[in-house]
Amino acid sequence: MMRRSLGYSGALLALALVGCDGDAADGGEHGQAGGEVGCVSDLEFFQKEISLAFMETDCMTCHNPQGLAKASKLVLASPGETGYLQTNFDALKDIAAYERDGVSVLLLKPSAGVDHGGGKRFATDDPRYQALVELVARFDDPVVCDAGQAPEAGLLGKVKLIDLPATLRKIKLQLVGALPEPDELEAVAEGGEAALDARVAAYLEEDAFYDVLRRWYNDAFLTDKYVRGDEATNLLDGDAFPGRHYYRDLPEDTEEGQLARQWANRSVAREPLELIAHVVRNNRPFTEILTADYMLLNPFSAKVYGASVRFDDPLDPSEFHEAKLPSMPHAGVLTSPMFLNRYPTTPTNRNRHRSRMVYKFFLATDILEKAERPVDPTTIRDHNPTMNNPQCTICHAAVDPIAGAFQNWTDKGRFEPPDMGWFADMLPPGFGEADIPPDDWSHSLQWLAQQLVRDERFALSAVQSVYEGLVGRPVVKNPTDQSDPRFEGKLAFYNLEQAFLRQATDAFIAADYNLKVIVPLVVKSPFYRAEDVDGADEAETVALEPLGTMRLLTPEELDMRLIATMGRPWQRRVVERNFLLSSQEYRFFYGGIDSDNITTRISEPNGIMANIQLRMANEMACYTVANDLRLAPEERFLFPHVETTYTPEDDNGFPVPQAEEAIRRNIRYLHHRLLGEVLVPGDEQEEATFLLFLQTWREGYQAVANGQINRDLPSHCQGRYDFWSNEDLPDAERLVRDDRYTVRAWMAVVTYLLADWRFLYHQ
Amino acid sequence: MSFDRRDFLKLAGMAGLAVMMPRGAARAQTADDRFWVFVHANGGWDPTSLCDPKGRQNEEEEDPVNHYFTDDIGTAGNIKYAPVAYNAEFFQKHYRRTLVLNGVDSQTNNHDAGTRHTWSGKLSEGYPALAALIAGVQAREAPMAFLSNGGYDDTGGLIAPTRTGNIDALNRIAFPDRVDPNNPNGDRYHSPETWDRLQAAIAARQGHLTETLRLPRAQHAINQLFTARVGRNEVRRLSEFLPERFDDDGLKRQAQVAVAAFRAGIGKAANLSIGGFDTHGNHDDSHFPRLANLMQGVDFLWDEAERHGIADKLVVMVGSDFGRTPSYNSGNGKDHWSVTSVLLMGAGIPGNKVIGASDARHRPLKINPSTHAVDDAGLRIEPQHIHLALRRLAGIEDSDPVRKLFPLIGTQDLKLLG
Repeated sequence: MMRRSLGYSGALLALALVGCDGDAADGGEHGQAGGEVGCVSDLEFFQKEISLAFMETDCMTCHNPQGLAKASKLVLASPGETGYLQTNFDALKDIAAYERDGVSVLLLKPSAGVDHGGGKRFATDDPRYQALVELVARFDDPVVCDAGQAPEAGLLGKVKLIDLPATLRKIKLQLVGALPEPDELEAVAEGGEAALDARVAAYLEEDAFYDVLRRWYNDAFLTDKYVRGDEATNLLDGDAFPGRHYYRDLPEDTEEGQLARQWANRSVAREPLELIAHVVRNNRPFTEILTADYMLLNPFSAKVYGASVRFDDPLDPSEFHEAKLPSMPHAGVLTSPMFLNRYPTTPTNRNRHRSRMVYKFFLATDILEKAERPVDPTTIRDHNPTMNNPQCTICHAAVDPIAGAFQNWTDKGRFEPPDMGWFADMLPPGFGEADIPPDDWSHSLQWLAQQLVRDERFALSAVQSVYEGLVGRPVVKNPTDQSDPRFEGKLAFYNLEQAFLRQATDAFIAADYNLKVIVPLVVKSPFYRAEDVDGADEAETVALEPLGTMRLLTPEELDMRLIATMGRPWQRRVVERNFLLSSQEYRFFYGGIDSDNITTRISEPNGIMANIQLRMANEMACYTVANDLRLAPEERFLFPHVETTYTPEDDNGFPVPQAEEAIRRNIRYLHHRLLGEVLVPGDEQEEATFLLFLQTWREGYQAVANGQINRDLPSHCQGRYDFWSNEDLPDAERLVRDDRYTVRAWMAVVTYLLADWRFLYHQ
Repeated sequence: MSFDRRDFLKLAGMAGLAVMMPRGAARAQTADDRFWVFVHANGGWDPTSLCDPKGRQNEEEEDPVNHYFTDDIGTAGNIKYAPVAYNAEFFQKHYRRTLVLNGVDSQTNNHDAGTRHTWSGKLSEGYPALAALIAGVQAREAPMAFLSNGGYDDTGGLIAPTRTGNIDALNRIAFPDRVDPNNPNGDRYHSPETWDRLQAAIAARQGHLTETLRLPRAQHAINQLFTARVGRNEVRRLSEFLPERFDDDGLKRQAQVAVAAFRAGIGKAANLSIGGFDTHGNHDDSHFPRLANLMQGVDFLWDEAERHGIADKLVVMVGSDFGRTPSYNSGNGKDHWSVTSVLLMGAGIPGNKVIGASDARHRPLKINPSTHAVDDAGLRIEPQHIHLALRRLAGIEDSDPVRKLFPLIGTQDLKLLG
């Protein structure tokens, strides 16, 4: 065993990946230089000095499964493929074993010491050559670092996590839009992770979770572009589906007519998202989202498609059944008319865009990242360069076979196999090295689906989707720019996150692709639970930058949180527009999307969004405080411990201890209910909130007593109606007066808490 | 009584809060009084149909770059333009303020990477859009410092982008404490004294959170929320300058909001975006109307800036993901091509000038770094050279965020702006 060190400032990376078995500052035999030193494992050396330094941008252009060197002994896996680093390390190790005159072929080939199809890549005095020299030496004499210090113990060791009850609150709010019941919190506090797993498993059976799941996938697919008007049914072929607009002929004054107008187009538009929900809800292997030989139809979409399906309730839009359309070789999402229309093609694009999306959604691969490397058009003079020029084949060799698999589907998503077969000037339809057998040409997407789900990247893509949905940010990408001052930190976190994703992917596959197993894994991880860090130095702080889930809630998430905590959404009356969700109100200002022109969410607030938050806090306090206080204490969401008569001081200005204690108790209750904070009596945050209440009350109480302001609450803040039934209340049940100014003082408190970072952010 | 930016900043100091700073960077404000607009032609435009015209000699020419004839190529001052779309009107009107950069090597055929390269100056990920960089360094406290209508709007964590929706809702947003936003004397949700007390309590609370939550992402998020609130009262000034009627055209509407934000003193830089340029099929019929819309929109932007009296402070950059192939494909379309052009206009830009060139098949030619003449021993113009020039024009190249976090290391100064 020996130790080697690197000249680059690799201390942080070493910290993140491995501990060392001793003082590495003695230099070892290769590559020793000054500066910070640490034990650098062989894989780590390979990643930084070989793979990231030049191999991914140079060698991989040809040495890939579809590249010009695909028949050589060195075929490399692409970044994004699970375990690509280890795969390529092993591949180089095999090659390095071949020698000529005592020199490894791994050194001879790129320096043109022997014939190399790619020519001379660099000279023997080039740093890249020197890096390969060290790698070959390491193959002969591996460096073993002390694995006793796990990554978590190093980089994550200083990170503080939220406790399990807080984790339960967080995940229940996120997945089902509700607060945990006291007995749930108690069970988790006592039962630990097993109890948490059990509760999370229960949430995954609730309908609300499937709304969240659909939203996660729509943020990727963007098929909700078609939910409005007749946009989905208009896409269907009127000849093939003569009933596509059947609902237009139904009388508007019947229940069926009204429901059909409301649901028919929407159900057609949502079909791919409903399929995903269906597969997960029924614990089917997630592979079925691509291999399903059926569509998922409800009574309304079944009529649009003219499918004969028996429904228990022909007017229930939530009743879905699997159905096959005649002469339609279904392949799950791949053959969904909505998916195919959202990602259309042209006569010259030839389904390549669809192919790219397949890579992105189902193989966790941005195939065009291969084309991000500098390309030089002056070198492209080949005949049919997409098949012959390496700068083009790097993408097209991977893209074109999948594109060909879409051969039977038109630009409008209709099943019309081409009379003359597929294009001869493209690679034949297939996947990877496999061509589609002629017998499978008529149902080529079904064949493709079977290939896709066998690829490990399919499992990884599902894991990433769940991870990104829960954590609220994309998976960190492989850093490539070594001139970036924060490169080391980025690389450390990337490695950490990738290790977790690999573990989750293995567990997902082992569970027969049941998507539900991924959720508790993420929820229990530091990636979901990190809240604070103690004692991190500057380098560690950089590495930890992506850690945590802190981000602004989306309009949909904030709406869920308001309903969970306040008992109602942000809208004046139940029949009026929802301020957060309506495109006519604040949805786009607040960073929402329409899945059409606006497709990315804003996750960090600006001045306009800050004002929307304050207006929300003001209006929700106005709408809810009196309406809550008018209820019996056991029915209240916000004020179980006080009455409007509870004032902190009497008319002579003397404290009223019992009232003050009740007020403080309710403040602690509100901090927990709205912000998830557990305050002990006397906490400084309780004191700050009480001071706000007290000062506001004093000011208003005097003003009311002096007749300077009205005893009645402003009309829009009075408790005069029941929100959900939209019925006005009898006079006896209303709360319209605020003689003691306590209602308005509580409104200030609720505004304060609703405007708080903890309320507005996912944490 | 009002609770303004000064009060908020005072509270920030009392609460120990830093108005959001770029990670690891010190504050840097400069005196640049320019306003910046970046117009993105989404999908990859065809420079040979705009400012790097090739044409064809006659109808018999095989595999022409363009279908129009070389004899019809127009000239405005020193600038040549393709005789299509709205080019003649645009260049004849604006050539004196326009610098054309041709033969720009985007080094990619990937939409995402090309868009990123054009607007951040970096092919790899992680660098912010120049609009965000300028706004983040110079005006991060302004509530609409970086107005984004799409394109590449990565901010590098420097500043939050602002997006607009239903303009009618802006008054309600501008006055969150008024029940009726149009009635300054009407009911408020809280008394003025309580409203100020609330702002103070909210700021103090954020100070407490900053002290107790030290995870970088939490710190960043708390500071970002605080920063967003610092300038929030100034949003109301936007309503003074918005037009009574918005244009029906999307790009022109974006220009109206951007100019109003500049005029109101709450905006610094804006991304405008127009799509439809990815014309793999039926290129001329599909592409030329989009080019016309684009150049009419830029023309309108200048008119709007003139109307508001800020044209002398306006800088405009017009660009796209990359260019389009010099040949028409079998569908009469044009595919992706990594050679493109960029238009720079306005304050500090030497107009009536063309730098860089491409050959007859739209391959990029190298230029001499000093003379800008075509020179085989010279360099190709890349986005990094343009960004270096614009960073210098904006006076931000030596600021901490730029120097420490987003440097253009090794970029040769081509002195594109003189």
